[in-house]
Amino acid sequence: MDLLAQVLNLMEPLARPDLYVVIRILDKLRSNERDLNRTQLQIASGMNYTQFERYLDLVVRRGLAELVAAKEGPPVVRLTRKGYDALMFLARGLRDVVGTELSSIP
Amino acid sequence: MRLQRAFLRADGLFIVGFVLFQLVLSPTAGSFAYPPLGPGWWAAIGLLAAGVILAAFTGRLQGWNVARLARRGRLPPVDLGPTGPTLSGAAQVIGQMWKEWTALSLWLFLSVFLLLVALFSVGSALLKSSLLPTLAPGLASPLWQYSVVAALFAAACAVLYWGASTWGELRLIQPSIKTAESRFRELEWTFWHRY
Repeated sequence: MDLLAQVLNLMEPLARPDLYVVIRILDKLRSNERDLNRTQLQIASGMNYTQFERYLDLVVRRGLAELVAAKEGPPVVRLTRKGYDALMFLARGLRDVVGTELSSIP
Repeated sequence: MRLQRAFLRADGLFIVGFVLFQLVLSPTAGSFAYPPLGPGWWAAIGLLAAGVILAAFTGRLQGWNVARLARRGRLPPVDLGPTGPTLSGAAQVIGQMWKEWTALSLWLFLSVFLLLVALFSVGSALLKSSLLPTLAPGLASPLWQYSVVAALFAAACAVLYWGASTWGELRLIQPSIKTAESRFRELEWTFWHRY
């Protein structure tokens, strides 16, 4: 089991995720008036499919976003309360550390 | 970035000062005539080229370093990896490279052009034997004395400029970049442990 865990750990897709990408995804979820499904969120975030899926998996696993079944069509991605708090934490941190506002992150 | 602009201004001041020194203080300034260009002109052009090259390399190396440190400190963040080769990302990087390299290429073009002109002219003058037989006796002439003084002046300017810019980077830029970088790492660490 240990060996399997080690192999799975090696296959971890995002050993060191980029904070700016996480911010971008969470901010798109926060600022969009309507719910976005994963394809729409991928386009809004300006990422390629593979990387987007890895980051979406990361934020969902950490409870920062959730996939919610839509009335029709594919499930939509929603920001959770924890995700909103995390985004505000990062916004404050970025403003203090590097003087960057959320709106200026591409 | 404010400091980087200050370095660029220092480059400009150095060049302007050097040109003024050449043109106003030169003991042979009154004898410069065209055509033909005398050896004083070519000495001036050669020294000017040397000054431009010195300023270009000290200043531009400084610029490269500042830009590299700024990127390492994520100021501003430029990150193409996770987003893939998107058009807007490529445009952003090309725009940044353009800003960084335009000044450099202008300096290099000017330096190389002036140096080639000076070398070609001195070479042709030597081949025509107008200067070569009198080279050794000419060392005592005001032109050569002036050239030596001008070269020393250029070297002193370059050393002062290099020293000032290095001091500025070590004392002002690197600590702030390192602080920003370590605070960003701290923010990153806190975020991943809290959320």
